[in-house]
Amino acid sequence: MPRSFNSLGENVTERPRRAVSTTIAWVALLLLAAAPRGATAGLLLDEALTLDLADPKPAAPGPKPADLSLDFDLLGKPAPPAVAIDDQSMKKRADMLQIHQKIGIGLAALTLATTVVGQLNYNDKYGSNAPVTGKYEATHTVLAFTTLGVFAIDGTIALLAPANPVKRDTYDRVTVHKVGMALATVGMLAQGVVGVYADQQEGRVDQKQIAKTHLVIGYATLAAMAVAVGALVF
Amino acid sequence: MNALLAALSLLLAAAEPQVLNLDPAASTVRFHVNHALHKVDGSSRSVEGKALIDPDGTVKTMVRIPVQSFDSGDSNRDSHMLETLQAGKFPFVTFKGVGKVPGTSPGGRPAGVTLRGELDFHGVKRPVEVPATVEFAADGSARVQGTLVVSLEAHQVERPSMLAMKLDDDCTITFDLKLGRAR
Repeated sequence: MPRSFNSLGENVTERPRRAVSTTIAWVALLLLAAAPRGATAGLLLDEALTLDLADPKPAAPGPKPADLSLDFDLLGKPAPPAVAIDDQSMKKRADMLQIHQKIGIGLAALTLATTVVGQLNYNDKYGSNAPVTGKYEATHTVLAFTTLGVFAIDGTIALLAPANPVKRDTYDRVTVHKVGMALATVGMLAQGVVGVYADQQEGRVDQKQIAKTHLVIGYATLAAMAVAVGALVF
Repeated sequence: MNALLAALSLLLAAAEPQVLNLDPAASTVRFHVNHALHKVDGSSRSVEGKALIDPDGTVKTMVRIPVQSFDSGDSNRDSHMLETLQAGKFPFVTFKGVGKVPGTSPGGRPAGVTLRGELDFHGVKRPVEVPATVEFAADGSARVQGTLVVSLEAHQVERPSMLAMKLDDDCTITFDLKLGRAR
C-alpha cells in the first residue's frame, strides 16, 4: 500500500491504527476503574480464591471455638476387671435358676397342699370320736412323695447351676433362702422318716404321738420354705 | 528477671488445661431400678474418671465403671445383673461428655453445668445430656453431683422379670464424684 505524507512530512496512513490502539487503552482503563474494589479474578481463578484488595491488613485472631467433639480418650485402656466373666456360663446359670424358680413356686404350692391334707388326715384319724374314714390317706401319701421328689429335683438344679462369680461374703436374701431351704431339706427328710414310722405303728398306743410329731415337723418345714421363698420374692 | 519468669509461667499455666483426676475412695455412683415387688438400689465405688478444663471453661470428661463393681446388697441379683448386661462382653459402663463450667474459682456456690455426651452401656452408645452441679474447693478439687435417667431398652438390655413381672425400663443413676488436681 502506498504511504501518504502531509505537508509536515507525517505519515498519515498510520493515524487510524494509532487511534484504535488509544481507544482500546482508554476502554481498558475505564473497565478497570469501574470494577469493584474487591475484584474477583473470576476468569483466571476459582471462586474460592477471592482477592480482597480492600483490606490488606490480616484478620485479627478471634476466640478459638470450643472443641465439643467426643473424639478423645482421657482414661486409656482399662485394666481387666477383677473377675473374668464368662457370659455363656452366666446365661446357663440364669436359665437354670429361672427353672429352679418356676419349679420352686410349684413346690411351695405342693408343700402347702401336702400339709393341709396331712392335717385333714390327722384330724380324720385322731381328732374326733367319729369313725376313721381314711379318705385323705392316699392323697396325703401321693402328695408327700410327689413333694419330696420335686424338692429333690429342684434342689439339684440349684446346686448344679454354675457358681456365682461375684459372690460376696455378706449376709443377704440369698443367704436367708439357702438357710431356709437347708432347714426345709432336713424337715422334709425327717417328715418322710417319721411319717413312714408312724404308718408302721398302726394299732400302737404311741402312734398318735408319732403322727403329731410328723405333723409338727410338716408345719416347721412349711414355715422354713415360706421364709426361704419369701426372702427372694418380697 | 525472676518476676518476669514467674509471670510468664503463670500465664503459660493459665493457658494450659486443668487436669482433674477422680478420687475413687471419695466418689460413688448409685443406681435405682423399680420392680413391682422390689425397689433396688446399688452402688459402685470403683469409679475411674478424669476431667480436662480449658482456660475458657470448656470441660471434657470421661468416667468409666466396671459393671461387676455394682453391689445391690444381694449377690445373686448382682450375678443376674451381670448376666443381663453381658458383663463378659461389655465389662464397663463409660460416659464421655463435654460442657462449659462457668468458673473454677473456689468457694463459690455450686454451679450448674450440662454435660453433653455419650453413654456406652451394654455396648450401646447413646447421646445423653447430664445436668450436674460443680463446686470447686480452695485446694483446686471439685465435687460433681447429678442424676440421669437411662432407658434400659434404649441400650438393648433385656429387662429381667420376676413372677412374670418385668423390671421398669427407667434406671436412675445418681453420682457424687470428687476430683482432685493431677500432680
